[in-house]
Amino acid sequence: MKTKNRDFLRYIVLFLLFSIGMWQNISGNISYGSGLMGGAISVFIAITLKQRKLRKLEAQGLNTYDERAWFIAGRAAYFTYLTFALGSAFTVLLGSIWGPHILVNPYNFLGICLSLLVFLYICFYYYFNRKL
Amino acid sequence: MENRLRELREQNGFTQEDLAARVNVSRQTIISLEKGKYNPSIILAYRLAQIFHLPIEAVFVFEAGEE
Repeated sequence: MKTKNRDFLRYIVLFLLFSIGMWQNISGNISYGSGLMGGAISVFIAITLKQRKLRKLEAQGLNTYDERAWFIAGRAAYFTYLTFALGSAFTVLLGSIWGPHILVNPYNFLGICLSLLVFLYICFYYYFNRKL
Repeated sequence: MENRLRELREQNGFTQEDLAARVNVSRQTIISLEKGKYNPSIILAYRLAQIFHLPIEAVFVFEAGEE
């Protein structure tokens, strides 16, 4: 997919998320709606600033998504998967023996897992970016 | 893998940014290559060697047992 198309798709998805947030706010689910709207606005600002920086570098003939960036992304993804899988296995193992039996909302649980994965990926990306 | 990138770059009067732009990578990649922290792909190594009009083995020094 071309960069322009990808950017356009990103903005469409953000707009949809923002609309869902607004709808939820109107429907009375204010905490969820506000969170979604705030998140969509934050991501929009972050993407716009990042694109501006990338365009500036591209104008100088520099490629910001070069092979080193892909190499780091691959390593970060692998270590994220490894840490998450081992951490989950360890938690299941110990939690099944000594942990309390609690009921969780599956959507909240998935959201926490997703946040954890993104957090681990960002940490590992920055770590390998500094190391390599 | 050791390399003579910094030496060759300075001999040819290129800045890290110039060299990065010539081989279409980021300046950070050139910094990592010069420090020997990152090993380039064969395509990047070939492009860099081409810039200096040298064979790859004159720029990158591969020693057995490194892989």
